[in-house]
Amino acid sequence: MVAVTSLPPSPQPQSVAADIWQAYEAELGPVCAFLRRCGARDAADLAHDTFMVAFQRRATFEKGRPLRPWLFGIALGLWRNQQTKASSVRETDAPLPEVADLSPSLDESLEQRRRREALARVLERLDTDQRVAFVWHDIEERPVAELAENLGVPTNTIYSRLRIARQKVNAAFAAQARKEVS
Amino acid sequence: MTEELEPLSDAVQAALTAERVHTVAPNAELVGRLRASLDAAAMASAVAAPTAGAVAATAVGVPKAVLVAAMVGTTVIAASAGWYAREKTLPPPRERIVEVEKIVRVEVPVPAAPTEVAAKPNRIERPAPAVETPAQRSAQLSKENALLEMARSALIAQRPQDALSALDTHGKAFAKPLLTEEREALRIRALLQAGRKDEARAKFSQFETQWPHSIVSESLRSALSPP
Repeated sequence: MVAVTSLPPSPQPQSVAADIWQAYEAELGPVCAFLRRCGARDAADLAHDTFMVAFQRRATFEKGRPLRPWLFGIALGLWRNQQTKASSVRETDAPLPEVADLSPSLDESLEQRRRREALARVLERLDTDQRVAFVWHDIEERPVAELAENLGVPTNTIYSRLRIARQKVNAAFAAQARKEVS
Repeated sequence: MTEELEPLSDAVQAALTAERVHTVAPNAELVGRLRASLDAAAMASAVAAPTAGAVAATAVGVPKAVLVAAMVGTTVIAASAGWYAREKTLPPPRERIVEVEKIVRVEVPVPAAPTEVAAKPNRIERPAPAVETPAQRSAQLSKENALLEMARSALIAQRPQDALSALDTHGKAFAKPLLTEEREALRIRALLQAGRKDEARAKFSQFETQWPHSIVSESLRSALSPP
């Protein structure tokens, strides 16, 4: 006679806690935009991985710190690791990334779109480190010290990169303006 | 140091403004893929939860510590599940809701089955505490999640009273709940939606004390702050 042992409960599908998903979902767009602005060609995949890493590290998230820069830091780390692994040389002549993201929205004027496209072209010509510093500080409006902490480099290094980036961006826009006048 | 930076020209400033205000919602495929991966990671964490530390935490009645320990300790499993889920299609949200209803009808009172054990003493001993084996943990998490999903669905449908009812049910149904933090976060949102702001603030104050490192504190704080 075989005793019928009780079957273990079949595993039920789990889902991530509702509030975590809400917090993550709200940041998904900004993280994608940040990665795209930094020059990541596979921003969607990297954004996906960013949130997976964030989920795994959620116990280390410090109270009182905003979620976005923490996510940006993770995203930046993943992207840089990917670049290191691929040993990729920057493709300064590569076409603009994410053309779809540059499509005008219904409420966006042609002029605004032209400005964004001009900025994207200029960013493409920046050195990666300079570009990241410019995106972090001048587009995302995050403190320089925050980026320095994320990258593990002195604050002065970031300022130096940012200074060069600003000079290049200003010069490129000035050159474009002269070209349009002539 | 900042003053040494070259100021940006008006044209650049205008471009930066245009870039900042240009928001593109992430496409549905990415949203679905991420949700599926996170769900898979949550499941992997739950299934692999009872490590030595996790069991010890359960024994002393610290259920949340169990979850955190599981998440930290099963990185590889969770990541693998996430990558696997990337290739899969996200199950439609409605499926989860249907399952919620099924679980709620069948379950609710006491998760353990002491009477069955008593009637058949020759079987494997099953102590009274709710969460012991990975399967039990998985089952309990599933049931808890089901109730919280009900609350979340109610909130999306602007039915805060229904959400609060589901949360109360969760509060009564489990002797050692694993998702208390999530439940209380939802309760704060439900109270807010119901216009009970003072109660929501009081709950948030307790929430901050109990879970000082919660990842959702920021979003709750911002929801509670006046516009």
